[in-house]
Amino acid sequence: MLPIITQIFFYPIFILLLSILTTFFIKGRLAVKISSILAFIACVFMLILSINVLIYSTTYSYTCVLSSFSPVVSGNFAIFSIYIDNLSGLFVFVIGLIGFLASIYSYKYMDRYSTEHLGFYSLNYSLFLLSMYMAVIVSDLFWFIVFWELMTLSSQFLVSFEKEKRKALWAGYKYFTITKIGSEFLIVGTLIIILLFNNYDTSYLSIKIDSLHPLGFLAILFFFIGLAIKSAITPFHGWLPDAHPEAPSHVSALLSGVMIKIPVYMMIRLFYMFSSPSILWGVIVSTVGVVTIIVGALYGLIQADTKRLLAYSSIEQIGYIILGLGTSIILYSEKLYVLSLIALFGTLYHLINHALYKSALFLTAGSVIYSTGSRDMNKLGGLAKSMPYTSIAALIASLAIMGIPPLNGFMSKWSLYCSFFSAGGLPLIYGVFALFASSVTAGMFIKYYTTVFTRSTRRIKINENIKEAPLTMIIPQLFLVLLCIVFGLLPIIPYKIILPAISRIGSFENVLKNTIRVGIGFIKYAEISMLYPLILLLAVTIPLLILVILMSFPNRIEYDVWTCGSRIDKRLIHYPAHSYFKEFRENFNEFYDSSSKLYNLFVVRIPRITQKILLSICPKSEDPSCMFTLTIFILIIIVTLLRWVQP
Amino acid sequence: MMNEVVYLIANMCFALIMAPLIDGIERKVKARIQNRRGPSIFQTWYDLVKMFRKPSGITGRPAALYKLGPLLYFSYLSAILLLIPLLFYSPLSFIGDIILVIYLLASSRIFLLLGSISSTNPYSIVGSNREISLSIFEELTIAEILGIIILSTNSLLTNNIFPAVPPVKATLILALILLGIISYIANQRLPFELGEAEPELSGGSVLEYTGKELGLFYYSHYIRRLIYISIFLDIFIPQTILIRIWLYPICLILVSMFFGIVEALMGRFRIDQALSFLKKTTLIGGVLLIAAVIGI
Repeated sequence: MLPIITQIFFYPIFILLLSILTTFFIKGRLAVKISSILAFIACVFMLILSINVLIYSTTYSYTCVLSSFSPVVSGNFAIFSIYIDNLSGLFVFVIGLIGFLASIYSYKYMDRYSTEHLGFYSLNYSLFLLSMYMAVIVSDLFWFIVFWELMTLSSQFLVSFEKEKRKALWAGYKYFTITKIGSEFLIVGTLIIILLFNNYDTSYLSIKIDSLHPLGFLAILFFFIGLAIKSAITPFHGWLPDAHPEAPSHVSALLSGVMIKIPVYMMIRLFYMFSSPSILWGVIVSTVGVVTIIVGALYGLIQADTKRLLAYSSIEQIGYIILGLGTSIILYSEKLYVLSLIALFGTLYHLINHALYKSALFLTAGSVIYSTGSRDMNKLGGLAKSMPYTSIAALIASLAIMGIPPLNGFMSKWSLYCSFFSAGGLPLIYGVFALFASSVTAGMFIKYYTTVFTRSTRRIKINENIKEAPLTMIIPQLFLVLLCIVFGLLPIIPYKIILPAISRIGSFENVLKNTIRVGIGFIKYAEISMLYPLILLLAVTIPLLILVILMSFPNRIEYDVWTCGSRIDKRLIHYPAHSYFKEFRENFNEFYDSSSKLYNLFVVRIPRITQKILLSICPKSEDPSCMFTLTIFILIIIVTLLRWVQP
Repeated sequence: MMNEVVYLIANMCFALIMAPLIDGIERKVKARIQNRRGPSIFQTWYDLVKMFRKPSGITGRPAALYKLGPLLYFSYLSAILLLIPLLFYSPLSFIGDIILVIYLLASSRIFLLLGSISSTNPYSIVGSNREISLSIFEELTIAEILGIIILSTNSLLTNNIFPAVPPVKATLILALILLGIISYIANQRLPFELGEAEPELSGGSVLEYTGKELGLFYYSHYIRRLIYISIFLDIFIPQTILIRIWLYPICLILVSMFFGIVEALMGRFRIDQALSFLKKTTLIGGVLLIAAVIGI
């Protein structure tokens, strides 16, 4: 047992467990401070660990036989094994980075809540970080599901943290029930896998799903649905726009930036390691990806609540990630390994980038809430003067998410588009839609930035006595924004981080060895993309500098906004957020109408019908013979199904 | 290497000098259609020089964003001049640069809109909103055309895409017509000039800009027109230097004269009319894209 203490991957677990323990004894604000500091330290260790894994290519493995401690523990839970390879390391890096900054942010941010439930919050915050960390480092499907459930449970308590608000309770309830159904799908998928293919062994290395077998297809389908619900892919995205805004802002950053990416981690394992990539799955995954992009983008455009807009934008961005993954699977099964590698590289690059700028944006929205207490874009406005640092962070993060070159959002989208458009066929059509959606994103974030920070507001009261957020809240935002710029200008950094993570997958290793033989080599592509941002930076900055010098020397005149010649208080002239893009919305009415019809059908009407059926069955439950017949009937169905499951 | 630097500088200078001149020619053509004598073709240059001599005014909040808007608009557009073939082919071509060109065009406009919205004038906000709505539709059509062009040329390099080599498919020809229409619309020419809309919004997105900033704005606007027409022309005109060096400027002037004539005959659309027109072009583009993927 002792050698484990010398292993670095153990430190975050130990520190977070310590933080959970302290919350049993300490309550109130002190608990928040202690848990923030401990989470901060744990995340630093996670970062060190991930750097060890990613840069020095060390792998960590550890196995603990739990049944030797207690005979009660048996079966699949008897062995607890950890295996950190490069892919896990990449996700540990994302968790560590965002968790590290969110913890600094939470130190002051939690002051705005009453002291009542703060102890409970600290418990769940530590548990949430711990379960995310454990979910990506364990190497056994059973333990993965255990930590997955813990992650859902603890994050649900964080979402419905403000118990007094009915809305928050409802959001937490909705989130929990929907994602719980997702984990049932995961459990059924795992059961099929162990019954059919694996002789009760669920460690990652030994899972091999035969995707041609009908039950193998079913297993992958259940797995995919389970993961898709958690990462809010379109038919199942309903919980996200309610849940993410209700949580405290740094938790929203963690939910959007990190948690919805963990299913992507499992999807990469599922499609590339547990089974061999097949074209059918590629088409399914990329189709749901593109639908997710369009739904997220078009609904995000019409929101008038800052955090809700960001939540919809998260749905859109996860769509890009899923579309990239799906395209990569299609290209892999067509044996176009280089393009597939570019697509997968773009996917993971976009995943990191989204974690960076979406967390930054949620933190800026949090600072606005902290200073003004509002997240209604109709009422906010003109905060750039009183909150300059937050405004700069929000501007750069918005530009990054819009994909303005040379920031990081453009770089990852660029490599995704290169693979989409080179692939031809279906990925090309999807690429066209993705390009369209990114212009919708631009509209969305012009709206976010201008309504909150630049435009004048009618609510004069809201603008008075507003102070910039405290330093511990500004630093995380500025740091994230700085990383956005660095990851855009120097794509060599993400390239070095990501390539080891995907190089072990299937045939990519051979591709990377033999790049000289390939037509448009991946290495060549990457080298060019390393060089390009600097050229672009020069091309953009040189004329800019000349202009700034030319334009700055004569005197400037300051004057008021032109109000058609009449003297009015300019704060009375107001353009509310819900008027933004009104004409556009009217032209897309078919889309909004048909999707609200679908919503009515699936979300409102079907549950109502099931409710009626259940109510009609309910009186019969008192009749024992009826229930007995029903039970027998169900048992027969189960046994007939199990007959199929002969290996 | 030496040649390439010369080409780059020649391209740059040509575009920067020609862009206002082309507008001057257009003005002349429009005046003649309306039975006027019209100003000299250098009038646009005189106007710009005069505007650059004036001091600039500030209203915006944050003032930095308001000031930077036109500057970044100009610099992003001038970065495109390095990437597309103009008088000569572009020596800086690399894989995927066509996507970069589209992104640079879109981002230049985003900076302009951010600048004009941060002037806090409601007319500017209305004008910018209209422009964003239009640009989202334009972007969809441009993406569809891009898909068709890439499908028929199998390349992501501007130098390989342009010009399109025969055998040219039917979908490509139709897509090019659509590209012509879109480059007309995206230049904010008359039926679609809704962001500024002088009689309605009295300047709209540029209402608050004066002096140098206004001059820079108009200058960038002419460059933007030149870029769109050049992208359209690049598909026909071969890259052999001896042919290109005389054919390209002539075609450039002819196309812009044609656009000027169309503009002189048109009135302004309402925003909903413009959007429903653009909706039709996107639908046509979608049908063409599917046809191109099938292989017609």
